[in-house]
Amino acid sequence: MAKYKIKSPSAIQLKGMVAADIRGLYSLFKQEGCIESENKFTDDDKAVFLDDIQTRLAQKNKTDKQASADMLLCIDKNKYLLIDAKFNSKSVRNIDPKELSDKLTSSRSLVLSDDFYFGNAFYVLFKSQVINPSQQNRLKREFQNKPQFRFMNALQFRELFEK
Amino acid sequence: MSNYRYQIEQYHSIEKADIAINGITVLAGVNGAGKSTLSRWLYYIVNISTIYDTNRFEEYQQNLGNEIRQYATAKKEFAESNDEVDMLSKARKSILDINYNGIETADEVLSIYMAATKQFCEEWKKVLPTMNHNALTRISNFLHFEKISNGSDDTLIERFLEERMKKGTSEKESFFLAIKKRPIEKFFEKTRKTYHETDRPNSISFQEDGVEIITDKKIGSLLGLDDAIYIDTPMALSVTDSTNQFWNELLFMLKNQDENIDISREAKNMLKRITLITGGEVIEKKDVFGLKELFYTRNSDNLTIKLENAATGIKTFAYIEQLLRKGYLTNRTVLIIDEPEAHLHPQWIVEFARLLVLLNKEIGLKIMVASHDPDMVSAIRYVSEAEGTLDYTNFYIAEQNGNSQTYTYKNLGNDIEPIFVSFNKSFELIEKYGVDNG
Repeated sequence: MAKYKIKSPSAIQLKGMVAADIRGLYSLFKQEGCIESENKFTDDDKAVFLDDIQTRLAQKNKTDKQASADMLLCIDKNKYLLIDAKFNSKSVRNIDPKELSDKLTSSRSLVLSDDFYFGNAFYVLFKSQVINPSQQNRLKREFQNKPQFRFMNALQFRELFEK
Repeated sequence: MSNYRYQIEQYHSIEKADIAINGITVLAGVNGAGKSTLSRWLYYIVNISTIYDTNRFEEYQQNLGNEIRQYATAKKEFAESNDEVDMLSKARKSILDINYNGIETADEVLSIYMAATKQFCEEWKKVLPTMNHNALTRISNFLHFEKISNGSDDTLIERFLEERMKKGTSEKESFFLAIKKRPIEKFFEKTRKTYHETDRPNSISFQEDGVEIITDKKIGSLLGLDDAIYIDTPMALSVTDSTNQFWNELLFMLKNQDENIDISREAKNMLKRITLITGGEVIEKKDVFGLKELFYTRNSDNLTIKLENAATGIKTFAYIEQLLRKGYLTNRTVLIIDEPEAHLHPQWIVEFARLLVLLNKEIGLKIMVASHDPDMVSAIRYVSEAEGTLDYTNFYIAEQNGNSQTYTYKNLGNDIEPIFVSFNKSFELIEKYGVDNG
């Protein structure tokens, strides 16, 4: 498959989004627990940090905070991808298909711009020592092979993009 | 227990395979990487070398038996009654009925042959004066004997008898020589004639505890193995007779007529395990012609159906069950299964994998499987670990050499992750074909 190009998310409109939600991928990965040797993005690659948005929306609407993917990344052809970082997980066993499906739905519902399309890919990222090929196989099968959900480490994720 | 090392180089799609067989060996690789080819040649090596003597004996029996058949045909030309011809046919049959049991059985065969030859010559001699030249020439030609000159020839029969006696002795000598020298050509002759292999590997090697069995000149004998059993598909149990030699040989074992088979306590325990998994067992019944047929009986409701009509997954367990019951699965056997997971539901794949591990652990059976299934591979890996047999479990993956269609088998030891890398390719394809990427 052709490689993605990372685009600035400044054009996309999200519910309750402020300029500070657009952050560098390197810092976001680091904040989520990605180890230095696997964190190959730079802060010039920008993504939207959805967690802060959900907190703000919950405060504003006086509701419980909704779970969503951690990050939203805009790519070429007016598409966006979702990323859930699970770098701190020690095992893939506690990954719940229902929880991730809900995160996918709630994250998509944040997007207001109707000229941006979901790229059909929700990336769940792990530390490379956790997500070896047999665990990847296990997760994929647990998710009934749904093509939207993709499980990998940060290095493999970096490979999906142009340098 | 002996350890075995098996190598093939440059044969069909196999560039190089160097495989240890000392417990459970798992081969993984894409379709067309040569896994079944490896299975087949392992089967040939073990089976042909272990029954090499018997095969040579059968050849010897056949050669002498065919001579007697020729006498019988020739005798029809001058015999007074059919009974006389029958005597020769009976002599031939008694030669073929002798089972190989040490080299002294060769003398038994020879003495029957000699007696039949003498009898034939005596009777021929009686009618010789009444035979005209053309009839005599015809018989002589048929018996591949010398050209008959015109005029009477009193010593003809004596010369014939002498020549045939010599032939009998030389057949015996060449049989002795063949079992002493064990020429490798006989091995390839068998793979060609019986198993229809049209070519042979450029390099093939099989070592028992470091000792080479296959050399340029000789196929050696195996001290630690008696049998190889090859199962390419459980569907083999659905047929009663087929043109597939492997299926016939498997069916022969499953329906073995020998009633007094003593099996070990471990084997009996294994049988119980299988009954627990499948909820039934295989039983034998004789049909109206006295031939054995296999049935599957379900314990919960005593439903009894022909095994060929049972679920294909049941057949997978049934062949193991029946081979155990017939005493074929021992520590002197190597069991080769292609894709044992075929036709099994995931939970039974794991049960089957555990059964293989336990057969290896409890009975000492050596096993080689080729698999495409994640559950089979991981179950063998982790159940072996739990059972403490991981040191005797080896995984191999066929790696493609560049863009060529040849594969090199890489020893992974106990690491199954590279196998999963190749399994996971399917997910990439679902991602590619299964979502609209614009």
